[in-house]
Amino acid sequence: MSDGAGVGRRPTLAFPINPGGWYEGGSSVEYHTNDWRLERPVVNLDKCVGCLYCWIYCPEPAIVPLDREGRGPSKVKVDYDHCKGCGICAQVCPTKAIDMVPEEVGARWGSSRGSTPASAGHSSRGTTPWLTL
Amino acid sequence: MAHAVRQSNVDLVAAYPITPQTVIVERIAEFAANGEFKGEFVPVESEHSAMSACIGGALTGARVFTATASQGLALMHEMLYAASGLRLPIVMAVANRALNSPLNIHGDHSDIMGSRDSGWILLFAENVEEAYDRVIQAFRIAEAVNLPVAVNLDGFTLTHSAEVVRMLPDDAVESFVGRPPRRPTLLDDPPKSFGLMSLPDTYQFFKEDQQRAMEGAPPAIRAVEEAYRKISGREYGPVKRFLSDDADIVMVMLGSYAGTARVAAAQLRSEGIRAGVVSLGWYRPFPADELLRAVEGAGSIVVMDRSVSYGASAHPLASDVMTALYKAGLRKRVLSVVYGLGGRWFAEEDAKRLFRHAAEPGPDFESFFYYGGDRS
Amino acid sequence: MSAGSAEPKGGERAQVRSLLEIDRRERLAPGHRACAGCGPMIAVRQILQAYPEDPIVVNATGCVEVVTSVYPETSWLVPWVHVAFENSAAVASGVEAAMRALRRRGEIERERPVVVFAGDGGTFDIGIQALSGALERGHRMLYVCYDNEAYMNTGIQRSSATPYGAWTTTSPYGSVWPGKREAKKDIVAIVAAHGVPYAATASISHWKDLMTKVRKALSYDGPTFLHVYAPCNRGWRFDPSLTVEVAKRAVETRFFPLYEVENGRYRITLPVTKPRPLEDFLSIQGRFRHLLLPQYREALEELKRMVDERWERLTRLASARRAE
Repeated sequence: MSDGAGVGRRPTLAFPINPGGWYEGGSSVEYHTNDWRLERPVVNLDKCVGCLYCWIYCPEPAIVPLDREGRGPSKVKVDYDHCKGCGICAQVCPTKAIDMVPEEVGARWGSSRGSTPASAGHSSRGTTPWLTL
Repeated sequence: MAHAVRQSNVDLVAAYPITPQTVIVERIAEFAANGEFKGEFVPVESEHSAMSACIGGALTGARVFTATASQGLALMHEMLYAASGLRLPIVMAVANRALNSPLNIHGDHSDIMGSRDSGWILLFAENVEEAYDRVIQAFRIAEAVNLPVAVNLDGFTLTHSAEVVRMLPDDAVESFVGRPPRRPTLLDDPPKSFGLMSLPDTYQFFKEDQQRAMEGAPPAIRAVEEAYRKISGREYGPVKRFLSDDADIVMVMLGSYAGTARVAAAQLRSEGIRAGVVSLGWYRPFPADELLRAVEGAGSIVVMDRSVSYGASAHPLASDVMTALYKAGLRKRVLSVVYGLGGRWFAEEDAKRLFRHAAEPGPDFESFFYYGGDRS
Repeated sequence: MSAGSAEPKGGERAQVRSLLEIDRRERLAPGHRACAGCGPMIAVRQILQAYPEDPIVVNATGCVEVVTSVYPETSWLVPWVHVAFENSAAVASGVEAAMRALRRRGEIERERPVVVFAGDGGTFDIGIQALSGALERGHRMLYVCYDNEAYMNTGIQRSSATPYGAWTTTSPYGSVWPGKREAKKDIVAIVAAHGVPYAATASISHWKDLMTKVRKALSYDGPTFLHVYAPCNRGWRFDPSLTVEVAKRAVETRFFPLYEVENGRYRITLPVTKPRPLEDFLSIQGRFRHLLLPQYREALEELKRMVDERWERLTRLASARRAE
């Protein structure tokens, strides 16, 4: 099937192709990795002493200090849009204030904003982390 | 060359010694040692790092320069694509030299032809003054189109020759080049990321944009050449024509042997052979229209290549010329001649022999290696 | 560009004592595609958070680079650039030198700090020439090698940072091979031999030690080097939740000693007086588990000998310093 003159047409994208391939920093927050998760960390705020060990050991970061501006102890919440469920936070917590809870099928990708299941990342570029050179 | 860099408000020179380019960098180092060069001179440990440091420097918005040749260009090959892909206005002098093996330090175009498709604007100088002029122009060209520019000059023939160069006053050059226009840099706030990975959904867009930038470069290059003419009285343009308007045979060339061919062409007029010479000032973007205008009246075209494209239908310059002819629907006798490899000599008499041969009837396409007369 | 003052300007001030003094403004955004429980990403976060101001990051090709920069999604909230695999020290040299020129012209007020992140492949192997050049020229930068002891991004191939006896896809164990047959390269000694003012090892498990070392490095006007142990659960074959635990055991068994070389003087920053048995470290990783089988006992002994020898050498070097 021929589409005539359309053969040389450049598709449109939802984002700019910046000359030289630069991009504004921090844009990856739009990319959600919650569907990688099999277990979710749940913080027991009664046990949490605000030491921030979970925060400094989180590879994402998906641990959010409740007091982001201050310098005192701060309890934390989990960014469920980005947490991949590795379980390091539960492992390093000195007061065992974080439990890893299995995600339930159907609800397991729920975001921190509510129970709406988030899509598997916002783009169609796939979520495979094992990109080879 | 070194003077052009000293005068052009360059912020960073990162280079590594290699014959026959070394003389350029030595002079820049000398200028730096005496405080005449105001930028930073970074004596890197390889050409790969030279281009890498230039890329890093250019990403801060600074004006950067390097020079290399032959093996050095081959070693930095990977980084040439990074420089153009990142759309950085880096300027580089290439003292064209043969490639190993066998080892040979003399002139030919094998080095730059190996990097022909790396996305750089390629200019060729025929003499030392032209090389000086082109380097100064190159900064403004590169910064106008956000593509890197390589100024090619024949190794030894031009790098180690004593010629009179009519240098411009420092202030004239400094005000001609000014300072680089603003572009996205690592110093921007809010911060930007550079050199992201691109998957199959986006990669081709960047490559097409590079091609569009190259296709759109000619008016920008012409504008810089015109502005430079105003301060220097010197202009080269995409092609330099000599006796080609009424020529039956036109020799198409890159680099310093064009002058040799011009002397031969002028002398052949007395023999009744109407010979002309077209020397390209630009090689990328390829000035097809200007070239066609220069050869449209000729019956035969002798295309002189100082490099080999092994196994190809024709050698690099010949391929470009024949493609231009094909696109214009022109069929002519074309001779694709490989000459001057590894500094092999080429004198007026050699050019004359080729013109005389091309004046004889022959097949539409001929290809051979030309050795020049005996020199023992 | 001097080689640095004899003593750190802020040796005392550099000491990080509590997480509570660390800025909580993130310099790395989430949404990157690193595997769950990635050690190198922990290293990157800890180092960036230790900076008193936003550095310019030069990133070599590798895991950290690819997972954080899939166009149009970048995780960097600080200026960042990737060019290639083997040249990050050279790119950083250019950034640093150009900023000096721009400052002299009055176009910028001051140079910003430059930090390089490169993996063990990009540092020990393919990038060592560019690294050596940059160290010799004395560019002011902190070069961080995040060491996950193999080429993980291409699928777990051995590098010269892979330890003796470790399994990788190109150093498999079999009836003849014990896993990798060669010892790990001593990169800190190589770097220190350039006469740089500061080079150190650190582990993601010991953030206080690591962040203190970052701040110490920053107090020097010259090239500094940090070799950071950053376990890879995919390549080392352990559960993602154990990344920090594995790094901790590497230190506690003396497998990865924490030390620094400051102006040529060695100091063990975390003396391990009663080391845990090496098996505590080996047994929780698939890449070493074969060493616990009877047929690889010789290789296990060889590895233990290497660990002891290195610790003794470090102790000797450190005591030579004390005797001064």
